Amino acid sequence: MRVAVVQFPGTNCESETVDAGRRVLGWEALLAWHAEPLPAGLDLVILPGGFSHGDHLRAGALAARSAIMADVARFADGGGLVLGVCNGFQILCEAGMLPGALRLNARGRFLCEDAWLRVERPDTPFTNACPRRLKLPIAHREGNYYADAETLRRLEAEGRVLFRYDDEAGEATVAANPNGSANNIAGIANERGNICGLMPHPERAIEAPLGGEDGLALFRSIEAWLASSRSAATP
Amino acid sequence: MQFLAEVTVATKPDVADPQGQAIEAAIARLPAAMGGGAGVGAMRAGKLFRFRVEAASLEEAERRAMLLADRLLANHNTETFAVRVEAAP
Repeated sequence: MRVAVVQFPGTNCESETVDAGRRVLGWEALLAWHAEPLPAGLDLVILPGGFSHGDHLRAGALAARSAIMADVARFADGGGLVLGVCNGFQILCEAGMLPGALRLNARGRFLCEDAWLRVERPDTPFTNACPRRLKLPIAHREGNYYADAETLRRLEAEGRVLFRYDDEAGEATVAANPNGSANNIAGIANERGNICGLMPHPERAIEAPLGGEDGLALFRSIEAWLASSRSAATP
Repeated sequence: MQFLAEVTVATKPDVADPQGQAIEAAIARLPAAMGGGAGVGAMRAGKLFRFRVEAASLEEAERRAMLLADRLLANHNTETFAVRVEAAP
């Protein structure tokens, strides 16, 4: 697995994302500085968490419009897998690679806590090795997913909501929704299914001493997906 | 020629504005001497951008300001914008 973790000024999760890739998953993980061309020969591009450009203008707004994002879009157009985590999800929405926007949390403040997610479907590049529920940490101020009614209808109808905040009973209740996201949406995919954005941090739940390992399943899903699509392609 | 552009960005009316709500709630708790108390509602928080534009004509300056407002300064999912351009004094 050859993975690029894109780094913008103000990104702060790139090191642990690269560490998760290299040390825990055994991948070839490289940092891709925003002002350089995206490296070639990639299996996955990750837009990690942080405060790119200080969240100035809007979270992810400036990063979304930087030159490297044209490379990322081209990579995705060619079928490459793109994962946006937290600020990365915000960047993908601002870039129009995913629909909707991430807004100020309903409680009006930064949240740093665990969130329980329901994995809505097991048949995607990002979820095929995931259990039904995941506990992942959230750390965000603008994680309140918004899309207009028609976009929400389409996301739901097309099965593009991949992760949803729910409670222990498996109900997507208001109480289980930390930030007020529409339909308790925590993570979504694009129409083609190769771009995923989620607000919670899988790279922060990668080893037991960190408080949980549920994030590992998301990365293993990507690995398994690519391995099986490769073996399918080999005659 | 130099022009002055002013772009105001507001949250769409049908989109919740937690910041506006927080400010409104704070106003209700403020002392009267600061303008606080009951009677202030429908608070919406927005943004104001002011910048200079170099252009050959007012129309060109307006076009550029509109483009910036539409493509960068406002998020079309959740925000509306208004643009005003005038010749720099």
